[in-house]
This record gives sequence, structure tokens and C-alpha cells, in this order.
Amino acid sequence: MKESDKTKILIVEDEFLTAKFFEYKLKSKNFEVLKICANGKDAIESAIELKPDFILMDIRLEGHIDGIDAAKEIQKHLSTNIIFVSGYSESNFLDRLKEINYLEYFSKPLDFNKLIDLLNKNKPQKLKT
Amino acid sequence: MKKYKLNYKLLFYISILLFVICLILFQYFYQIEKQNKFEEIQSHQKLHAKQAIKSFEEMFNNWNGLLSYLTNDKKIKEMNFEGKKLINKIYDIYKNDLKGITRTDKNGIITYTIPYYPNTIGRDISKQKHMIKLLDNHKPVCSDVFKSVQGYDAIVIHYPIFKNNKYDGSLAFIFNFKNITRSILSEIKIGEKGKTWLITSEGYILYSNETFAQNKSIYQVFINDSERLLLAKKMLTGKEGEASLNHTKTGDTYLTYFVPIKILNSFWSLGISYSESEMTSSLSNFRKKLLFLFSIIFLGGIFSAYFGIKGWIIVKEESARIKAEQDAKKSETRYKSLFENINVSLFQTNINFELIKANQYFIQLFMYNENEIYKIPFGLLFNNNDDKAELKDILLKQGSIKSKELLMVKKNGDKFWASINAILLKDENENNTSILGSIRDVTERKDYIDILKKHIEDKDLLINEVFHRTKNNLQVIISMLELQSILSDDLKIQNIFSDMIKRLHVMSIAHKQLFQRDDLSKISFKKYIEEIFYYLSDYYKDKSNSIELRFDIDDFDILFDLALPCGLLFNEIVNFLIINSKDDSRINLNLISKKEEETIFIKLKSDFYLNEKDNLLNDNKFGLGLFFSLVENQLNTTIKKSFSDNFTIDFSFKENLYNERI
Repeated sequence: MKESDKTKILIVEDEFLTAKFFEYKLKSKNFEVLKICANGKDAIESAIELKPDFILMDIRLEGHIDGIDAAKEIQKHLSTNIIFVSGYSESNFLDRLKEINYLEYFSKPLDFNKLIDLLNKNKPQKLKT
Repeated sequence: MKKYKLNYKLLFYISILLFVICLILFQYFYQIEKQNKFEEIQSHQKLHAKQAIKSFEEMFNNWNGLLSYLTNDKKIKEMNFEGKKLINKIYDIYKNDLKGITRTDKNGIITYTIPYYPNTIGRDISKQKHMIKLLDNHKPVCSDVFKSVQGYDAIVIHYPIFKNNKYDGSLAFIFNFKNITRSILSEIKIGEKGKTWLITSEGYILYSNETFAQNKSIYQVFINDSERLLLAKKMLTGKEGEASLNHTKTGDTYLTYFVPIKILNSFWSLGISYSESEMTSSLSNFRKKLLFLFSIIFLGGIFSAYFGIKGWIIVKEESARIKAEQDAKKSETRYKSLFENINVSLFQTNINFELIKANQYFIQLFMYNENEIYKIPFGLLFNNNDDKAELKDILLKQGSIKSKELLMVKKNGDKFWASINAILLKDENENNTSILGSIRDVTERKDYIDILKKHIEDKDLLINEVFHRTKNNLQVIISMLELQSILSDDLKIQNIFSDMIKRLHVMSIAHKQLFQRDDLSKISFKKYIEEIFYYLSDYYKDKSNSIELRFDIDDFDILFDLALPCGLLFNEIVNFLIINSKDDSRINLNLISKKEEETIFIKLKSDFYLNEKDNLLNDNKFGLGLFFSLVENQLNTTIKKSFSDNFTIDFSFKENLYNERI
């Protein structure tokens, strides 16, 4: 499979080991990891620039912009599938999450099989050139 | 106040009782009067009878005296001219009473008679009944009614005449008995229907005020009236007595007193009767008066009862009213005392929240004096202008306000939080009259509550953060293990890592469920086991063999510390069965879990057949055996294991092995 045919994913995660594990697992399942971002600002800029198919977004990040604010900002510029993966429960952010169109909310530790199923079900169809 | 009502039922029963009493008294007095009337009439009867007897006796004494005198007179004995002259003179004197005077000789032959009847001189009357007696005993004799030789019905008295002590005939007076009896008896009559009759000893009716019966035999007159005939026969016995008889024609009852009148050797019987109906009707006036009297008594009784009950009710109501007033006064006094002295700020307003009354605590709370508090608008005490209207709305809708907290203002402008309780007072007609309420300064308490709330929020945040970090750390550990396993090509080492990762996931599922609970102490056992199974199913979805799990788990909560060993053991068993089963096989697993009182029972059964028992039972290795030991030690239980025919484990433990953490 060519790199351009693969589903592109942006990982936003401030825990280095966790981010590297996600990257390894996704790559092993034939997904393209565009970049790992550790803070909100980087996540916004990278998303706008790289236009990923999915963003795996942690909520608690380095810096002043958390994952929810970053997602909100990203969605102002492009339409992309955002999957939250956080140690916090979804119930903690119900009010803020109402304002965002997101695909799923996974609680850590991530059951990777569920993530892979979700990605496969929702990955965009690539046109062959 | 208790309301008394007129008890019409009671009044009705009193009326009935009064009516019965009046009826009994009426009957009593009426019967007494009737008895008196009877006795009066009976005494009249006897008086009349005595008078009649006396009259007859006197009359016959006179006649006997005269006859005795005459029969001893020489002229009469000789019956010479002088004698006849004397007899004629006597007859002239008594001709109204006497029909004639007759002289007979010693053989019963008539020798002289006046008035003179030529055919009678020389007639033999010795065979006449009374003459037979006279000739037999030579004593004065009175006849019954008989047909005289003169040709008329007569009664006669013969007196014997003796010459030289030898019987020499008789001198007889022939009586006009009709005149005699009428003169004596015509005045004897009791009432309009009263009857008087006089009969001889042989049943000849000498007198009757019923003209059809006069001068006839009773056997002839009463041939069709058996009752009167029976009465007449009683009279013929010559005894005194009383009898009642029903008059067959009129249906009336007659009460008769009869008495004999002795006349020489014979007697007459006098009967005096009176009509019962006539006597009863003579009581009608008395009856009417008595009826009127008892009607008055009855009606008077009813009125007395009615007004008596009414009066009783009025007295009772008045007593109740006085008592209610006294109670109300006492209550008011107590209320005033309570209102003033209770250690709570109390107020009373009209329904428009205009202050009527406030106690000292209320006045002091708002820092006004007694004159000022009644002059300022009540709304001035509220910080928000709309609060007064809101309170009024609540009161009108719900009738009361409970612990409503509002910001209020003191005279000096200080604001404080007040808790208001109030009720809407109503009068007897359910009209709203006033509002009674209390105000409590809760500023201090409210401040404490705010501090407590802040503490709780901080604590929640802290717990949230602890959970977040726990799960994040689990994620880091899992990530490390995953990344570490990549570095090894040894499948056995990779399996060890993957087993560790699964165990961490089983622990993280318990943590997730715990955080979703409010009590942070227990989780649903059923939900926990189900989620572990879904995770493992997902994990092994690529494997050709499959596991079919049947749950029969009661829905109960279990302490986190007890759930975790069970979850880890369940994870190990499922992993063990899948790893050790042949490819393409289908594994059957039944999990039964019940909670009875304080004990939890768990039974896990599979048709999986185990060959290598030693691997399982070796507790020293980090395998299934280790988790058997974990459960037995941590849950203080013994696991019953059976691997001979199929795979079965069975254990139970107390649910309260640990105290709840929170």
C-alpha cells in the first residue's frame, strides 16, 4: 500500500511513552501517523497544515490550550474526525463537549482493538489516481 | 366550638312514649269512672228495689191488717146486714185497688161478693189452687194470677174466718193488681232504656214497662228470646241476684238486678235492668273531657319536650361557647407570651405584607426600635424589591413558606442572609386574614456551607485527578510493556507481556467503573465481569477457536477490593481455556454468581477437558495457580476445583470482608 493511500492520523498526546505506543500500534495496523503533538498550539497548527483523517486527542496537554479547546479551534478550519483519548471520564466535560463534533471518547488505558475497529469503520475512501 | 343539633329521632320517641302514657292513663281514668258509674247505677237499682219492696210490704201489711181485723169482726163472721154494709164501705174506699171482696163458707162456696155478680153466688171455688191450700191448713193465702169466677184475671188474698174456733169460710180481697203495681213501679226506671218487671212465682208478668209483655206469661212472651226466658227462670227461684243479657233485637246488653218480694205463702220477683250502651253513652261527656284533657297533656308534653331539648341545646352551646372563649383567651394569652418570649424573630402582617405585630427579637434583628418598625414599609427589609411579591405568590399558592433564604437589609444597611418560614392564616370562612412568620439570620451558616461546598469541590477535583493519574499511569505502564515486548522476538516473552497487559486492562476496567459510582467503594459485579468478557472477546476475535459464555449473575454491588481478585481470576481462566484449547474448537463456559444474605457464591464450569493437571495446580508459577492463591488469600476462602470430567471451580466469600473505604 502506498503511503498516500493510508489513513492519516495526528496524535496529540503529552505522555511520550503513550504517544510512541499509539504510533507503533497504528503503524502496525497500516495507518499513517503524521505527527505526535504534545501541546494544543502545535496540535492546531499541525492539524491545519497536515489535514489528518483522524486526530487522536488527549485532553490534558502541555501549555494553556487543552484538547477540547484545540479541537474546537481545529474544527473552525477543517472538518476532521476527532477521537478523544483521556484519563478523565467523559462525564467531566459533558458541557464543553456539546460544542464539538467528535467521533468517540475513549478512556485510558485505551482498548486498542476498539480504536482500530472505529478507525476502520470510519476511514475515508481514497480515490485511486 | 361543638355544634349541637335537635335530635328529631329522640323527639319522636319521646312523643311515642308520651302518647302511650297518655293512652294508659286515659284508659285507667275512664275505667275507674265507668266502674263508678256501674256501682252508682247498681246502687240505684238496689235502692229502687228496696223502695218497691217496702211499698209492696207496707201495702200488703195494710191489707193483711185490714183482712185480719175484718175476719175477727163478728159482723163479718155472721155476714149479717151490718157485716155486708161494712164490706161495701171498705170496697168503696179501696175500689181503685180492689176489684172486689168475696165471702166464702167453710166448703169454699161463695156466699157473698161485691160488686155483686148474681152468677157468682153459690159458686164452688174450692178447687182453685189457693183455695185448696186454704181449706187444707186454714191459714191466710195469696193466689197467683188466676181467672176469677167473675171472668177477669185476678190476684186474691183469702183470710180464714173462725167461729167458736172452727173454720167457717174466708174473706177475700180481689186485687186490681194492674193499678197496684203501676202505682208502685211506674216511677222505677233507670235511664231511657231501663226496664222494670215484676213476675209472680208462677211466671205471670204483673208489670212491665214494655206494654207487649204485660199480663202475660213469661213462657208466652219470651218464647223466642231464650236469654230473657233464662233470666226470668232465675227470678222464679225466689232468690236475689244479678245477671246480664244480650238483647237479641238491639244487640244491647242489659244488666239486671232481681229480688223477691215475700207475700204470705208466695212471692213475687222484681227485676230492674239498665242498658250498658246507654250507661256508656252517658259517659261520653266525661270521655270527651278526658280526651281533651289528655290531648292537652300530650301536646303540652311534646311542646315541653321540644322546647326542653331546644333549651338543653342552647344551654350546652352556650356552655361550649363560654368554654371556647375561655380557651381562646388562655390560648391568646399563651400565644402572646410565646410570641414575645420565644427566642426567634416573629412577625405578623396582613396579606399585603403590612406589619401588624413583631416581637422584640424581630425588631432587634433589623436594628430598629418599636416605633420605627411599624412605620417603615415591610418591603424595605428585603434587599430585592421582587422578594416580597415572590413570597406572597408562594403563600397564596402553597399556603406556607419553608426555609426560604433571602438577602435582607438591616436599618444600618448591613445585609444578611435570612431563612424565612411563614404560614397564611385563614378565618372560619377560609378567607385569608394574615401572615405569621419567622426570620432567622443564617448568614454564618450560609458562609459555612459555601466553605464546605468549596471543600467538596476541591475534594472532587482531587479525586478526579487521582483517578486521571491512575488511569494515565496504567496507560503509561501498558504502553511501556507493549513497547518492551516489541524488542523481543521470543514468543513466550511476548505472551508474558500480553498477559500482563490484559491483567492491567482488567484492573483498569474496575477503576473506570469505580469512578463512575458516587460511593467510590463498590461496583456492579455483573457489569464488571461482562465488560472483562467483552474485552477478552475483542482481544481474541482473530483466533479460530471461540468461547461461549453463559452468565447467571445476580445484579449486586461488591466492594472494589473483592471484585478485583475475582476479575483477575476470571481473566486468567478465559485466557487459559482459549490458549489451551484446540484450534477451531468451541469452548463452553458457565458463570453462576449469587448473593445470599452476606455471602457471595461463585461457580464457574466448562466442558473443557484438562490433561496436564500439574501445570494448573502448581501455585508457585505465575499462572492460573497463582490467581487461585490470590483469591483464596485475599477473599479468605477455599476454591473447590474439579478437573476430572470437566473444568469446575466453586468458591464463596463474605461480602463484608473489608470495610467500605468511603
